[in-house]
Amino acid sequence: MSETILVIDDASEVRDLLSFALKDAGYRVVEADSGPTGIEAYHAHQPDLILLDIGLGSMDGLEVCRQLRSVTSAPIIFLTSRADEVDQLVGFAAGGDDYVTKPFSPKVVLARVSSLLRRKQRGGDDEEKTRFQVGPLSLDTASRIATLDATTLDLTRTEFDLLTVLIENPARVVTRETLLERVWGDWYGDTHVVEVHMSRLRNKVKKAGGPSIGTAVRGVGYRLGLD
Amino acid sequence: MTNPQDESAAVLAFIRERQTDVLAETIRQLSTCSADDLPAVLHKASGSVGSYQLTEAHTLIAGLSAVVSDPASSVADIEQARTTTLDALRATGTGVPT
Repeated sequence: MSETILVIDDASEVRDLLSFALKDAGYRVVEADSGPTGIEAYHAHQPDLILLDIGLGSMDGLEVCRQLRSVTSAPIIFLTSRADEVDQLVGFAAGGDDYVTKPFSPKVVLARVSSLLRRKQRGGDDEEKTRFQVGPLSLDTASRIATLDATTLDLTRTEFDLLTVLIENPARVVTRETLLERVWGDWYGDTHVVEVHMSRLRNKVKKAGGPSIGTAVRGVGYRLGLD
Repeated sequence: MTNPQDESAAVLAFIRERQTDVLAETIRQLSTCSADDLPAVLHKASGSVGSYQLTEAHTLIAGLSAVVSDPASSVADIEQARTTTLDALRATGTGVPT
């Protein structure tokens, strides 16, 4: 059965183009023209991935994302006409996994969709329950639960995946390329995305009372930082 | 922005089939919206026309957006720029690459 993509955008011509391109690539598509109808559509169709415009009307895309994140870990790709970094950072803070700026290329959107769905599939296919413990941090990649001492960390899918790669290699520097490949798969966007998510992961662990993790090694990548 | 050489033949055909309608709808919205709504309409229009490869229209809309967002622009400046942009948009046809 083909995967289902929910497209939430109040511009009908944008929905039409995305819908056509996605169907042409073999996906099932559900459309919604507002935040509230998008959330309803999510509950009705349980899509595998959501394309979400930030600039919706009364309930903006960031709020829709926050509400969806409370009920699903399905990948969310933001569509935004504002390419400035602040929007992107705020977008990721709301729980999005990726973003595409408008005007967009349908081919690029399809590549991002495919990449995130493969990531999701890889996670779902991993039958070996693997637990990692380094210092106060523990990670269960089967249940996808990360804890700091006894406190469960509220991580997004991307943050969890980043932490997984780092904790699997606790004594090594993990290159940015490895992180991109392991976490994002085929990546067509800005490599700055690693820094953005790493910063958010670091802040969440620190805010929970944990140590500084994800130490940057200039020009190479990151290490867990708990040796 | 969409590069014609990157898209599948089916997507390209869809884009080309819809360009005239997208441009017409953009012109309709820009000519009927209030001054207060103009920034939001331009914001949406920019994403739409660009994604449909309407490059000339996209440039014209970017120009009007710059006038609208310029704190030095008066209401008269903005309305003048809107009129000029609409005239130019109507004159573009779709500028469809073939």
